[in-house]
Amino acid sequence: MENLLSNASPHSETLIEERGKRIKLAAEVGLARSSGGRLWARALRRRLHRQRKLPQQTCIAKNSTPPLMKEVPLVADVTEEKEEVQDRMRALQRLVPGGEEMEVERLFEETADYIEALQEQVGVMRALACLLDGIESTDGDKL
Amino acid sequence: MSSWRSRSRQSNTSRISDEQINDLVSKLQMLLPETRTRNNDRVSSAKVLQETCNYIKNLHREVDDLSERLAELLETTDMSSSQAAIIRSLFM
Repeated sequence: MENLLSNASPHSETLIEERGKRIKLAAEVGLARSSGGRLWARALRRRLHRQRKLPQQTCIAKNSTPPLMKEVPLVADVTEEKEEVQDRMRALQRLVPGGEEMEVERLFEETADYIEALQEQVGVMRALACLLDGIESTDGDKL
Repeated sequence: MSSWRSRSRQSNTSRISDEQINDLVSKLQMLLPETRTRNNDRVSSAKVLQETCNYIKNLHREVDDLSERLAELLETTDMSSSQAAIIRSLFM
């Protein structure tokens, strides 16, 4: 994290991009660690672990909940409207980490929790940006 | 009610009724104030799910944008070592 905050590096577009990616990753790791018991958080930790972005000592559930349904179950009567609902549910499954392994009821619970966690994440990052903005403007000669 | 609940937890259940879906969707709607309507109009399940997906995508996008912005701010901000220490501790 040291070089994240140093000003000694040369100004360049790619450096900032690189830093942005690391910040985003830090945000993801924070998110993954924030709600230990949640399925979406476990799925996120698994993903980060696979990508080797998460240090080993973080607890990874060995036996995650076995997938109850790989696909959202078919509704009793398939009409156009029901098709649409199914499509939307599948889209939701893809957005929520681990969603594809969840049954419908659990998916909805996890979605609500995931959204709350994301909102908090955004709140923290916004506050941080304001803080940095504040530091910058009190320095005087910046516009 | 309890019978369908226990059935839905088994992996060999392959069908779920519209009623159950609508029920769950309206519960989701209650949990997410963003999807509630100002009047009490009935919103379709598909619409609620769509709004939910859009909302999540927006949040993802915000995280991306804020990450970029923070990266830029960190680049241009001249801060003391104690300020840097505070910020570093927030990341850990």
